[in-house]
Amino acid sequence: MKLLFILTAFLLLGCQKIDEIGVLVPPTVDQDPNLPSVSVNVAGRQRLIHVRTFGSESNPPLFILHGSFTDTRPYRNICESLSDKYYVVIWDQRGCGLSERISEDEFTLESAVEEINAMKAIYAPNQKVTIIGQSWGGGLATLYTSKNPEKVEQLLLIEPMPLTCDDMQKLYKTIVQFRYDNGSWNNMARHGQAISPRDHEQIDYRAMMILRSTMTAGYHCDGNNPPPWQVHRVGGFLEYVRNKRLGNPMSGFTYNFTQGIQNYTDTVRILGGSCSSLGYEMQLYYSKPHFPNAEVVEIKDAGHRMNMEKFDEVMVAIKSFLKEY
Amino acid sequence: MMKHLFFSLAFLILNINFVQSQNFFGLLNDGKHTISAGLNANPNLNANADYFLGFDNQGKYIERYGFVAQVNCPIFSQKGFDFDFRVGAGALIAFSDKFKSIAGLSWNISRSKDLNGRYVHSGFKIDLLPGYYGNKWVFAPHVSLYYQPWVNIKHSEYAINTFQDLYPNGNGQFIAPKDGWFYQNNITLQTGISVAYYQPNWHLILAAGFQHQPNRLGLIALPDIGIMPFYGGLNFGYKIFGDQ
Repeated sequence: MKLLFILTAFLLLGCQKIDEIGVLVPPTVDQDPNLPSVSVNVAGRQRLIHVRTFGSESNPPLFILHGSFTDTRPYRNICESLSDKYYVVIWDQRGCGLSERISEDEFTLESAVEEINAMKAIYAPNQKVTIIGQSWGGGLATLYTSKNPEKVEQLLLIEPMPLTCDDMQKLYKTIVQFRYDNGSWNNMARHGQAISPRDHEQIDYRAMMILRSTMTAGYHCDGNNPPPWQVHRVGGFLEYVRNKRLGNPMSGFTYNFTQGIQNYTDTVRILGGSCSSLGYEMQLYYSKPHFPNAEVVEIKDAGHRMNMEKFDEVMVAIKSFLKEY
Repeated sequence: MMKHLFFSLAFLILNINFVQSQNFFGLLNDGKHTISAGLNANPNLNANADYFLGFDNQGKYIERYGFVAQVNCPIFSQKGFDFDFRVGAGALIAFSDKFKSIAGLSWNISRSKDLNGRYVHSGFKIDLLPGYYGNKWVFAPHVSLYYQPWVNIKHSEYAINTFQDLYPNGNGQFIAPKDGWFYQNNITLQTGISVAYYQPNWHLILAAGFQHQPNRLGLIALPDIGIMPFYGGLNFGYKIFGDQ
């Protein structure tokens, strides 16, 4: 009995706590001051944003908005490629990647737009900005342009998510393939028995698995072997909050990114892969009609992570649209 | 022969057990040795096999008590040899003729593996099922507390590679997630309802309820990554031998 007590005390006191900084996921900018960051005031709270810039400040500004369950890291190749003609600014959105985590009340679609304005105030206060957005970032870029058409120089979307709740309701089953016998999902469900989702770190760590989950097999040419997608940190809690804001297939989706987009009359270019459930066909029939002027370019043999699969083709499609090339 | 076939099939098909719960319902039967096997969901699907060693204590406050061993194995998420082994002790406590409670305490050692890594984890679980215990029927709420403070993690190549070359300017400190033993407040609370029909030699149980892992974020459900607040199941057990 005494031995059991000593062993229990040793195990409880001798082990490192799982939610200590740097055990499961990297420290964020507020936890590691060596990381590059800027401070912004959004939704009434001052937060640190992990940001990187590419190219000369004298070039025209270009913002890249990343997707969901990811951060800026996988877009580095696009940033570097555009840095000869643009001042590329890319940041981990609040709650994602190495940016400071936020509370639930700080994230709304309005505050996501406010965040872009806060970054614009720092990096392009008196200029129009060119925006590239992928997936959720494509939806957000559309929302920003709908609200601020006068601030956007050019808009290019890489496989944006469905831009309205009606589109999402129709397309949801082609995007997320939930089956109870899905091994990836069962793995994630079982993960909680080993590591409790008690705090941000544990949820971020679990959410990292979705990057290789077969639940989103429809995004990729080879659903069982999706292209590599290295991240800083998946912001699991932010994804939870964003899902709440956007709605769900049971009770219905509730958003519309296109209200006001009629006021943006310049041509919008949309890239769609030939393999993805958010690819060329979907963009042509669902996204394009929302814009006064839009064109859809197909990237052959590419899925949702097209900049990893067909980088050269993607850059040709981007540069042939951007005014500085 | 038909009886044997019936119970063999029922054994395999109907025994959907409470996940993370031992089959203490062997306490309802007369036999000394009860075994069961089946499926359980929490919400991921597992197969389980149980053995219950029971002792009668009729006429006393503790009417019957026993010891249980259970092995759970995941079905759709098996990677390597994942298992969940549990041993425990339980008792059927009689407060009055029809108002009784099953109470159980168990310890587990489990191994699981997923895309991020391999985990060995251990903890304790308390189950309580106070309610109406008739001659054939049981209606009882189920309340349980499951606490797993220890976990050993060995991260996968995927988890390590995800963070390779994380800082292009070399300004950060993080290299990879850490391996080793860790302490955590891994608590799972379950509350639900159980309905059982039993005979001296067998029992059938239907259960459903809510489960929650308390967290600092107010997170109830995030189905995308498998956080679901439900549990439930159907359980069948059969006395194999050992009349008392």
